[in-house]
Amino acid sequence: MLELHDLTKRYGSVTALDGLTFAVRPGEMFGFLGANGAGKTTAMRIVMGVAAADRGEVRWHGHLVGAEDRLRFGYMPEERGLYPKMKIREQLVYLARLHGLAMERASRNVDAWLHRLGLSGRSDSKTEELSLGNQQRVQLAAALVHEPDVLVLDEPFAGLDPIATDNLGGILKERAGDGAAILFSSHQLDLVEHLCDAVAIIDRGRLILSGALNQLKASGRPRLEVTVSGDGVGTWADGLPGAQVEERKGDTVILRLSDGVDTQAVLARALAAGPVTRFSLEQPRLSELFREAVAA
Amino acid sequence: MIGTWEAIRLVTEREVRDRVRTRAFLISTVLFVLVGVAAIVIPAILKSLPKPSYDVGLVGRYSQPVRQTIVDLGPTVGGTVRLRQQSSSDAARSALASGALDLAIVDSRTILVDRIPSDPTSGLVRLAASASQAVQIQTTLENEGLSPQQAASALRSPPLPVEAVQPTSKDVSGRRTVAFIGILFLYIAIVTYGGILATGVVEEKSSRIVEILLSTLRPYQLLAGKVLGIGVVGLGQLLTVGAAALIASVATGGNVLPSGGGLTIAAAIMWFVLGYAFYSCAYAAAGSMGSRTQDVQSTVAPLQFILLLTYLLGISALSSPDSTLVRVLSFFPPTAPMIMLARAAVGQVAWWEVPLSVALVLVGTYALIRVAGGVYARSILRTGPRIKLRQALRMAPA
Repeated sequence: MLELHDLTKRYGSVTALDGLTFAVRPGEMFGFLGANGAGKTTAMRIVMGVAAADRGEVRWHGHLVGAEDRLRFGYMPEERGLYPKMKIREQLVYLARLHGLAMERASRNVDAWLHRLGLSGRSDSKTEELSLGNQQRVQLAAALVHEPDVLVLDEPFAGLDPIATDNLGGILKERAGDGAAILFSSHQLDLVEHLCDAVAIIDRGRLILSGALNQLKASGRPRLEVTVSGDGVGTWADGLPGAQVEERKGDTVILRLSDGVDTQAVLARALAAGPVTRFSLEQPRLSELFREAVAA
Repeated sequence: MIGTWEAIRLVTEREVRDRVRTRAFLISTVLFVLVGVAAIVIPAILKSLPKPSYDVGLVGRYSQPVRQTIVDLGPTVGGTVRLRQQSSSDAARSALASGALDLAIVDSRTILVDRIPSDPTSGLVRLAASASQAVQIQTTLENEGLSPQQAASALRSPPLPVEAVQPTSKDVSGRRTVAFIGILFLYIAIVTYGGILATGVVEEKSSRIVEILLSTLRPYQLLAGKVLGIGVVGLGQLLTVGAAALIASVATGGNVLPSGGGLTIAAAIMWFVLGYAFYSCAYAAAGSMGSRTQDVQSTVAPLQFILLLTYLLGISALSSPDSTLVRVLSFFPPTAPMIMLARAAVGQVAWWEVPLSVALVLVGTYALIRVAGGVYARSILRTGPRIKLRQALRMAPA
C-alpha cells in the first residue's frame, strides 16, 4: 500500500500541502482531484522523491519509501520530460536500465511497448521528430517500461483525443489488474468516475474528501431528474423541503435530495404540474461531489 | 537494486554516445587534428626548405685563406656562400642591381649590397657584418707582418666554450612553442567541454527529463556521470589530436619535437584532466541555474572570463616564467593548470613544485565539488526564472 502521511510543504509564504494523508492500494485506480494549484503536483513530486516534504512521510508496504522502492515506481511528470534529440528506443532502454533492468530485459520490454503503442516503425526517430500525440505515447512507455508496481501520473489524459484516452484508460486498467497501484491526477471528472476505484479531493493542500468511489457516491446526496412534459419552466420544484434545484433545462429539473426526503411527495408535486415522463433517482456524479466538497 | 557505480556508468555511457554522434564533435575533432598536425608539419616543411645561397662578389685581390674564411661564414648565417670575382666596382654594382650578386666586397674596404634589408637579423646583414670583420682582421694581421696562412689560422681559432650559470636547456624555445599550443588547447578544451556540460545540464532541466531521472538517480550520480562522460570524450579528443601530432612528427622525420616536448604534451594532457575536473562542476552548477538554453550564455560568463584571464596569464608566463606573480598563480587551483604548464615548460621548477600544485588543485576541486554540487542539486529541480548565484548558495533543497 502506498501511503501519503501528513505531507506538508511550504514554498515561502505559500502552503502547498497541509497535512495531506491518504493511501492507494495495490490493484487500485486512484483519482487525485483538486483545482489548479491545490497541491496535486507537489504531492506527486514528493512521492517520487523529486521534492522534499517539510513534514510527513511517504510509505510503501509500511516502510519509508527509499531509492530502491522508487526503482519500482513509474512516473509521468506534469510537464512531461524526454530528451528531445535522443532516439526513442535508445531513450526508453536507457530509462529502463536506470530502473534496474538488465540490457536484455530492457530491450525486450521497450520493443513490446513500442509495438503495443504503434511506434515500432519510429524506434529510431528522435523525440522532437514525433507528433505531440506520439510523444505522449513515448512518455507513457517511459513510465511503464520497467514494469512498475506503482504508477504516479500527473495529468496523463491531458491533451489526448477520445481514442487515445480510451487506449490509455485500457492500459491503466490492465496494469491495475496486474496488481499495480495507480495514482493519477485529472480534471476530467467524468473520466475519473468511469475509471477509478477510489479518489482523493484536495483543496489548498488539504484533503477534503477521500475514499472508495462507490461509498462516496452512496453517502452523497442523490440526484433526482424529473421531466414534466410541456411544463417548460420547472417552477413546480420551488420550495420543496429537502430538495434543492440543481439545474433546470426546458421540461426537466434536476434536484439534489437531502437525507430522508420523501420522493413520493416530490412526484406528487410534479404530477400536479403536468404529465411526468421521466422520474429518475441516481447517485450523485463525481463532478457534483467535487463541486460540493470544494465549495464547502 | 542499482548501485551508485552502475548508475554513474549508465549516465556516462549515454553522455559519451550522445556526444560522439553529433556533427559538432566530428567537425571539431577533424579541425583539432588538422591544427595539431599543421603545428608539427609546417615547421618541418620550413626546416626542409632549400637553404639560401649567397653570391658574394670580390673586387680586388684576396689571399686564398681570406676567401676560405668568407666561404666558411655560410653555415653561421644559415646558408652557403659562393664567391664571384668581379672586374671592377662598377661591374659589382650592376651585378648587384641585376640580382646576380647578393653582396660585394670592394678592395677590402667597402661592402656593397643592393638594398639594406629591413630585418636586422636577416642572413644577409649578418653575412655582411661577419665578412667585414673577417676581411678587416685578416688585413690588419697581414699588415702586422703575419703570413696570410698565419692570419687565417688566427681567425679560425676555435671559439671559447660558453657555460651558462643558470642550467638551461637549449630547447627552451621549442618547448615554449609546444607549451603555447598546449595552453591554447587546454583553454579551448576546458571552455568547450565546460560549455557542452552546462548546455547539457540546462537541456535536461528545461526538457524536464530530469524529473524522471532524479526519481531513480541522486543528483550527485547524475552530475558525476555527466562530468565523466563529457570528460572522457574531451580526453579522447585530445589524445586523438596528440596521437595525430605524434604520428605526423614521426612521419616528418621524428626529430621535430624538441627535447622535453613530449613531456610537455603529457603534462598538458594531465593538466587538462585536472583543469576539467576543477571547472566542470562549476560549469554544471552554472548550467543548472538557467531555465532555458539561452540562459547558459549568461550563467557561464563569469567562468569564461576567469578562464580567458588565466589563458592570457599563461601565455605571458611563457616569457616571464620566474616572476613572483606567476609562481604564486601556479599554485592557485583556478590558474594552476595553465600557469604551471607554462612554468614547467620554460621556467625553473623544483621537483616538489608540480606535485604540490597538483595536490592543491585536487583539494580545490574537492572543495568546489562540495559547493557547486550543492548548487546543482538545489537548482536542477527548481523551475521558473533563472536562479541567481546568491539564491542558489542559500536555497534549501527542493
